[in-house]
Amino acid sequence: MNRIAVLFIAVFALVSVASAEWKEKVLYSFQGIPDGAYPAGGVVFDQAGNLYGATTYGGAKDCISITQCGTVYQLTPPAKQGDPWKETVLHIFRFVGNQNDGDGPVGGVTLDTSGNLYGTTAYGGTGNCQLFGSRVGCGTVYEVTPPKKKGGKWTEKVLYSFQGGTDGYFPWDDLTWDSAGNLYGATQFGGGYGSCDAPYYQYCGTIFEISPPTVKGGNWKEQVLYAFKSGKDGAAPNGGLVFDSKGALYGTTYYGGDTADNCNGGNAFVGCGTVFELKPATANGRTWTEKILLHFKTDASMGGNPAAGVVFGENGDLYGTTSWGGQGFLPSGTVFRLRPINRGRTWSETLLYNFAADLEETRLWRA
Amino acid sequence: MAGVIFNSKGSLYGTASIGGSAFGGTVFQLAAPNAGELVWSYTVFYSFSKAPDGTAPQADLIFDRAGNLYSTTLYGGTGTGCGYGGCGTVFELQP
Repeated sequence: MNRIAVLFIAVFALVSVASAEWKEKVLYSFQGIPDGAYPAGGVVFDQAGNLYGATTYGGAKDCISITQCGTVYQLTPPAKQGDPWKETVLHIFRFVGNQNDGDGPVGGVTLDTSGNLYGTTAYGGTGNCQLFGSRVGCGTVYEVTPPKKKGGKWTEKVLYSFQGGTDGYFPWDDLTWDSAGNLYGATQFGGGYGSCDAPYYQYCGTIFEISPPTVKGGNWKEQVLYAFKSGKDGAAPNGGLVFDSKGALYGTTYYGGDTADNCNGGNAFVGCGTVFELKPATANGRTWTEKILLHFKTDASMGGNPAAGVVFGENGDLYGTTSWGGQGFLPSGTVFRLRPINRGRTWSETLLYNFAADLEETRLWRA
Repeated sequence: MAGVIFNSKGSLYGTASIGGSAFGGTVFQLAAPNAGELVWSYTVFYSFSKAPDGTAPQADLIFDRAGNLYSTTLYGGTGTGCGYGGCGTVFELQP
């Protein structure tokens, strides 16, 4: 039945999207070893027009299936237009050979103004998280620094190893800068609240900040800004956080929102996901204040299970996507807008597009 | 895992990891409604097939200064080290 449906859909899709094709060019095809496999996120440009990213798998040849290794790569544009782009592997994660290195990026990299690259690996590091009886580490935040001399080697350093408890574990997606040079991200688990995927995993995820050392050669410091509780709260936050002009953070959680809702959960996960706001600590208080702006519901007609962050449009509206839900024959993801009402006391959701409306079997998919 | 980004004219661009005319995912635009209208207009700019053009775009897009789009596909491409289906790509889309 599903197959037949898909065939019909293909025909409809061909008719409805016939014009407007852009010209696609593959700049680089990954080979696996040693150049990486399965890009972990998007790419970013530096000032010189080079692209940077990370892969989840590949790189080292002795990776085992649980620990995925992965790479950080650079793509350099050709001197002559039409020639191929050149890939350079900047770092190969070597959790197998060096059990304190990162392992398995699940997000891209972000640049600072000096050309250093920052990202997260879901596994690896000094933490003692276990999967199927093997230590896989609890994830890291890493830095990759350009060579001091042209032609030299890039250097990777783990800035923080998650330990798997209240500090969070399995960081996910891209990091976000604030104007003061601190980085912000999300961990899928850890934090200290909720059961989520127990007994396999503990707690429902965190939003964390990692701050540069205050003295040269010192350590970066990790701090959990918020730990999700599931239930009416979110669970399993996505990275790719955004700031508003007042320093509040906005993002999404894949699960959580209401115990009565269950979209794509299974196991001990409940809820169809949320959009949340984190207001910074005030001068007197040390904790950030969280507020759920929207939770998606079981019927998922207005979307469900957001798998990516949100962006700001004009007028302070938030725009995002869900990997699930929508309306119509084959609900398979949405693009939504959240508009603040009454100075953000409540937020109103509008579906801008749902990927079933034109019978196109398209899904905004979670990795 | 992809969200959406804006271009300078207020239209949204994103990737969908499966579907499209060739089943391998799409790059789409949601054009902002004209003044006085409500409906965003959906256009697919590219439908991925399988190797060699990439399959399953899962990441956010970025623009360069010329208005080309860049991102990655999780699978596809001409890589042979990952078994059937390729090891993924970095791609560019020109209007």
